[in-house]
Amino acid sequence: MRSKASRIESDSTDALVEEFEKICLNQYECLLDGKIARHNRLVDKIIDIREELKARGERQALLPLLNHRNRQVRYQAAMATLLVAPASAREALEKLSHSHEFPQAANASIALDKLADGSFVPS
Amino acid sequence: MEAQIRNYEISLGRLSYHAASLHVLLAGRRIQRLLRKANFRPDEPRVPARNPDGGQWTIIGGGSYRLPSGARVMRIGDRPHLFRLRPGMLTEGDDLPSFEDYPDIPIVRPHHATDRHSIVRRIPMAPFVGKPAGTLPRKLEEIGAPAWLREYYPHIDANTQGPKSLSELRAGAQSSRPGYDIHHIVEKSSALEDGFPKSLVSGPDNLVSVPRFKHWKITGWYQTRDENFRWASPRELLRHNSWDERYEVGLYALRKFEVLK
Repeated sequence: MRSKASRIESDSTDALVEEFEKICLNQYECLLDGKIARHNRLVDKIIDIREELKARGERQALLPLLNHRNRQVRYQAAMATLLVAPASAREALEKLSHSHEFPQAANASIALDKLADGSFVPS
Repeated sequence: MEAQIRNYEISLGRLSYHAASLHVLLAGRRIQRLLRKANFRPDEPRVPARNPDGGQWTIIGGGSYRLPSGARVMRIGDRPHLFRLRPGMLTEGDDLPSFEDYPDIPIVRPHHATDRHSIVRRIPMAPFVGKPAGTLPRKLEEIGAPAWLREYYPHIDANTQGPKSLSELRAGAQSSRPGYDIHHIVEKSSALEDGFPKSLVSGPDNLVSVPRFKHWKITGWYQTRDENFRWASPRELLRHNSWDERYEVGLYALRKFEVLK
């Protein structure tokens, strides 16, 4: 059986984007139903995919997800692309922050505050 | 002696006849009770034939009511009867959640509160934020949403209210109101665990009235790992912080969840 790291490394970029979307949709359900521990476990998978795409220089592959129908996917995609596509990512965060859909609206608004005061620097 | 035995036999026969009748009667009552529980009425309207859901029960349509565009009650396999929300049924406009985000609402009230809450929280409420109280419940009534949702109308209404001032939120915490919870600005459990006095944690300055659904979401947010907090949760980051720092974050969260002006 392949290890998690080698599995991610051998997956195509399209497959990683698909997996990223799937994880975010799963997180969305967890947040709706208050299954926070499960949501938090999925965070590590999001980080792994982001790191792998970053290493490949292919984070732009997540940009189509900025227009995804699901707000958790849009939120995570915006956070992951702030460095490579700051204008589009910030626009997605702005829209989310005015959506009245929580917690994504709150998280997007917090991210914008932190970007503005420099306490969050995308990497 | 023989006559006595025959009499006993007759009595036993009668007894077994009565037992059988009683059995049938009880079974009938059980069925009646189940039908009542399922809100079954023999005169309940059904979706007309030649319709994809022809013959299925509907709580709308028939009589003087008209089936709203796209609204229908359907039974999918062996799942309970469902009321299916569709985009455009609650509001008109483009910026609406897609079909996948809409919940199927069982006609029969789910037994477990967690199931009911999971359904109610999926009803798109954002388009109704800031509208006069009662707007979304009225809309749900108009489209014939299942009756059990009525117990959640106060929660739905509270959730669509705009932000309020701190003094209004504190005043609200003086009494209990349907649809609202008492919320601790500084999280209660972790503050007590970290040795802050109960008089401070449960003092009037730390208590505000918050719509229940937002209360749950804020509580969840405190535990949620996010990049905004270096992939930790706000609760983890606030551990060992002063009361004032926690209070500031508590107010910040209330603003970000549009509870506090």
